[in-house]
Amino acid sequence: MSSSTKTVLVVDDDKDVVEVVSARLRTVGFRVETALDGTGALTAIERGRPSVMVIDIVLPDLNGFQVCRAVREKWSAEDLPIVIQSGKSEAADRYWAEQVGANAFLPKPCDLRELITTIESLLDIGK
Amino acid sequence: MTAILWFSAALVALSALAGLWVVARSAGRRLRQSRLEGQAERVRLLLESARKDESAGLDKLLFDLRRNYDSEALGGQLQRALEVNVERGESIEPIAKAFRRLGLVESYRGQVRNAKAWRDRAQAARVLGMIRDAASVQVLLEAMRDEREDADVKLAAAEALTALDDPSVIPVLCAELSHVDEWSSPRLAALLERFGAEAVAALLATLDSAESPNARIWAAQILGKIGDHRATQPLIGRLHDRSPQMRMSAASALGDVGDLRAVRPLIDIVLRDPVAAVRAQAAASLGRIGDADAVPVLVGCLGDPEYWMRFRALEAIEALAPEDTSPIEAALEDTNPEVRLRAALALERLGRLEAAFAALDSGDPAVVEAARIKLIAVGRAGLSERFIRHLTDPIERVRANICHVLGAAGERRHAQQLAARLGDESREVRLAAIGALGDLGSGGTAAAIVSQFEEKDAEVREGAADALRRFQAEDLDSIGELLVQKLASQSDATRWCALRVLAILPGASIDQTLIRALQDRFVEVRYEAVRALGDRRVVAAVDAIGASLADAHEPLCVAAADALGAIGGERALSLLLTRVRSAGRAQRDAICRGIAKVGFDALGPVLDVLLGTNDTNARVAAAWTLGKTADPDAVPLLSALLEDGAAEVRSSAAGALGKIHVPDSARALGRAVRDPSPFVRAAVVNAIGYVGEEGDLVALADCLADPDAFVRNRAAISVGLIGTAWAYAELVATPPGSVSAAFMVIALGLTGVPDAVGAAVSLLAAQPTRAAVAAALEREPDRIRERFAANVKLGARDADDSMDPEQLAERIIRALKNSQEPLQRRRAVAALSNIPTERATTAVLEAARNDPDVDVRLRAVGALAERTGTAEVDAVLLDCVLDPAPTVRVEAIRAAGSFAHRDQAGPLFESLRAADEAVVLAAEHALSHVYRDSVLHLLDWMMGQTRPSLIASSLRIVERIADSRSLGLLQHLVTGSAVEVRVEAALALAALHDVEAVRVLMAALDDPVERVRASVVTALARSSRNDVMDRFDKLRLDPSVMVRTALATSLFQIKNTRALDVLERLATDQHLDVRAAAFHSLLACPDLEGQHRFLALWSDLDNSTRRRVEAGTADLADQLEAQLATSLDSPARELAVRVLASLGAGVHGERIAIALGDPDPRVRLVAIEALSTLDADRISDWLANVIDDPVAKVRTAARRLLVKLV
Repeated sequence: MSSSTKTVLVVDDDKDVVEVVSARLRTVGFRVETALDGTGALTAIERGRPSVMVIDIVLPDLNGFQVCRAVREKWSAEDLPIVIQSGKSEAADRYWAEQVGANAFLPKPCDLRELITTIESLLDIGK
Repeated sequence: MTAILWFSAALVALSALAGLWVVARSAGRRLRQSRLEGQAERVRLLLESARKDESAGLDKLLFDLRRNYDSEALGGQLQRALEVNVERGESIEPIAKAFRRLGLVESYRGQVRNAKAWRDRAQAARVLGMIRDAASVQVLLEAMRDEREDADVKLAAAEALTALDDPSVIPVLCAELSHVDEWSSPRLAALLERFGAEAVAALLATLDSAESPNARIWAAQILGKIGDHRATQPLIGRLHDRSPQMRMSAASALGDVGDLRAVRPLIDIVLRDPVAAVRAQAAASLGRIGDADAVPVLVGCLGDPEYWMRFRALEAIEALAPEDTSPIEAALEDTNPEVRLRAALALERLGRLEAAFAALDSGDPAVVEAARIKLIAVGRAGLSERFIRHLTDPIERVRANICHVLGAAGERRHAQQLAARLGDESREVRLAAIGALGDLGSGGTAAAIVSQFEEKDAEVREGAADALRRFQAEDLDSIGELLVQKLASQSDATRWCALRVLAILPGASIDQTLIRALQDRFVEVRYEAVRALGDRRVVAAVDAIGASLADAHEPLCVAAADALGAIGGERALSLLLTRVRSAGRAQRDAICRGIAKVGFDALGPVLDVLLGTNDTNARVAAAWTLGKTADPDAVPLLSALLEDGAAEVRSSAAGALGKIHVPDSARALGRAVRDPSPFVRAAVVNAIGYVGEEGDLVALADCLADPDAFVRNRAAISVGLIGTAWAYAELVATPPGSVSAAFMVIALGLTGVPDAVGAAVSLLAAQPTRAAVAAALEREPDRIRERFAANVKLGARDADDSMDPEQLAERIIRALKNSQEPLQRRRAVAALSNIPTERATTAVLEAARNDPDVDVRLRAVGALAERTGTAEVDAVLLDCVLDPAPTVRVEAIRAAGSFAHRDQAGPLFESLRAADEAVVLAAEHALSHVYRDSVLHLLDWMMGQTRPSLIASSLRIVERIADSRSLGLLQHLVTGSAVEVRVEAALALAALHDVEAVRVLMAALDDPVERVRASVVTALARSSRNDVMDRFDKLRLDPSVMVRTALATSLFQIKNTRALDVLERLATDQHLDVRAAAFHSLLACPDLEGQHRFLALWSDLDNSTRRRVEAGTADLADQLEAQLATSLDSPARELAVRVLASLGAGVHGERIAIALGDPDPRVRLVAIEALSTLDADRISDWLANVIDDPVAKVRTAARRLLVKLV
């Protein structure tokens, strides 16, 4: 399976983060869509389901957990894998990420190589 | 004879032989010494040449030496050579080799133990050390350990061991640590410490496996001194050793090592070790390690029951130099003086005292006050000498404030330094110094203060007199004469000051001085003298004071009347009676007050005088006096005076009857409403108004139709004061015009009845009425003015009853939209809330959103809350949730909580960020309704928050919802990093009433932060589970007062005997808060056993705890009263009486009196006993219920008590 056919939705209220992550994902062949808040993320998914979503927890309106739960009401973990990344990385945050149906939790600032490896693993790319 | 000659010759011969032997021995010694010296010199030269020519064969030299010279000479020279080498820092190895080759080492080892002279033994030990002979360790150790050995030898052995500097001796030295030897062990430890890292392995082995606890303890201490991080983990392991000494040494060593990995284990020890010394050492070590994370734990330790634990915690906190020093400042109030002093020192060392001194010059009064409070506490803690240098600060404000601080700190030893400030160039400083000296009350400064009486500045003079009046009388003994001299001063002011101070000195001579002062030319002096003589009850002064009754200065003649009244006695009464007829109003009042003090029963002769004349003033005075006794027995006499020929007397009698609230006085007043004099009738209706509902209301109502307008107006006021629906009805029924509009408005307003107040407000719409009301109120007493103002807010009429409802609504809507008067708009909103039209609702919606007046918006939101369910109303209410006024927000939030869906919860979540606590509380409550069935969505929102306060707030909502689906997350949150979150998570867990939740909470009792532990204790107690008692029992030793208080406060919820046992122990806790909470908890126990234990502990309780316990028992007393009144169990009722009595029969007398009607005679008896400490006036009525009790015992007890009281 090739990454060039896959779309990653990157959701973060920090534009710099969105730009850096998007650029790196594009260099390994992903198509990238972006959103700066939770509502924007849900709208983007309504427009077309991405292959995977990378979302921050702390967002201006709906937070990452709320978006994740809303997504899971419609899409399963296989249909739309979700990677939550956050500067909030206590045990409770990780636990709750799992509870709301996230496939992976990465602390911020994230290691982009680890992010790509995680996405590829979730999309079964390179196996 | 011959025999004697022979005997003498033998003696001579023997003497000669002895002399020869001595001479020969001496010569031998000299010869040997000479030979040794010769040999030694040759050895020295040989060694010298050997040193110069190192290539020469040493072995050959040694061979020659050994063959040719005496070993003693050799040894001596080798020692000297050795010392030279050591001094020069040259190698000692060749000489050490020489010692060994010559066999001298063995000889010296032998000497260490066997030489006869201690000098030789010490020298041998020193030599062995210098040549670093590792094989001599054992010999040196033995010498060092020998209890009988000379101290110098032991010291030489220890130094020799030190000098060995050979790592091969480390295991031997470690093994030696197992001996308990106070002299040697520290030296061994120092020796091992010098080996540093080389000794660590052996010491760790000793720490790990030595059988002797002594060795392990020393090993830990030495490892700490070496400071090698390899020791950290093994030392942490020893923190849980069975030996407290070991734990203490391990804790100390970890502090020396300073490894951050030890912080958490040390915190655990601080929190939980049962031995206070270990906790204290762990706290000290935390301070030395310097991790700021330890600060909260150490702050918690400031509440530890052991004072030296608190002391150590202060040291540790100081070492950590936290930004926030408020816990240290709080420790300035510690019960232990050493802790207080330590806290003060900590503040000084952290530079906080200098900051406080600097703040004394601040322009902000609040900053100055805060600094003064801090410094006063520091001064009281024992560091006041630090303030002295600031008494000469160049800034006068600082000097003045320091004077104040020194006075408040209360250290008399600084009195002289303060007295020196009395000559300060600044008036402010002089005043402050005077005040401070007054605070200190040091006799040695009294004369200096007296010198201020001559000051030109009146405030300084008066301040000086006031300061001296605060002294204890015995501290003023030394200036008694001086004050008397000052009374002869030409200055009026000086004499006045001196007299004020003399007034507090005891003694008959002072009484005489005061009496003489009644002749002073300055009226203020005479005034002070009269007051003082009255206060001192100087009977000898009565006539002299009597002369002042007619003084032209009214305050003086009133004071003279008061003084005579205070002194009492026949002569004083006689003087007062003589004066009463010519007295002015104020003096007559004082005279009657004085006379009334003798009591109604003793008034007979006085009344004979007053009433036996034709003097109206005398009879008026009689009426006033009778009124001031407030004695019901005075009513008949006053009733008779209502028949007096003089109207003034009758009106005075009416006024007096108004002060005696008994049915007889009410009846007498009822009859008097038909008095021919309107002046009297007015007084009568006034009096009935003061009597209240017990008065003759029918007669009063009749007065509303009195022929005199003044009486009718006064009657209206009295009716208004009655303040019931009856009053409103009577006033409304009054024919129009019979009471003036102003008095009618006041009367209506006084009733407080809503409709009446509304009517009053309507009448006030007319400007002339408002003016008349204002004028009338000016003449009324304060109580009437205040009551009227409280009931009525001036406003304008906005409704006309003659209009139809639609027109009325339109008119009100217009008023709401257009009126500039907030009150009118408020009333409009209130009116529209009862008009259910769409236009009315729209107007209210508009008002809720946009009215500038908070109260209007508040009322509008309140009105809308009754009409939720339409999109428009709901939307406006949600908008109002974010209103700028907290009161409006709270009202809107409450409404929103009833209808909002979680999609509309945004404003409610926003409200959780509000600064106003009521808003946050309302929002939490509302959100708990909104998310009652969808807790997971609430948790989603919560977990997206970064502010701990918001998460904590959300957790309170989770607690209200108590949904088991939150358990997993709460388990994680209760161990999170934010303290606030852990606190609330614990409470939320408790609300789940789940076994797993309890398990998690039990683990959370180990939290390092006291707030969290306290919260967990509260939470666990709410679960009412008996299986928590093991942990709770241990928590008694928790170092935090907050935790122990939480434990004491919560334990009553656990229904078992162990909880009571723990409470009993907490009732003797070191800290007052804990003790008081334990006592309250014992009383709150649903089981009567708690009350029994309370009583058992109460008798031995100290006064401060008693006061604290008594102060906080209002609710508990209600509970006891209920127990007394409703329990079917006699012992329970009896117990309630006993507990109430212990809490103070004076306070709870009325509650206890309930028991006098108890069906069980035992309870009645206990009640009589409990009431026996009260005075007769108070309990005689109550005892009347049992004076004829059917049970003889009760009857007898009641009668005996009455007799005793009488």
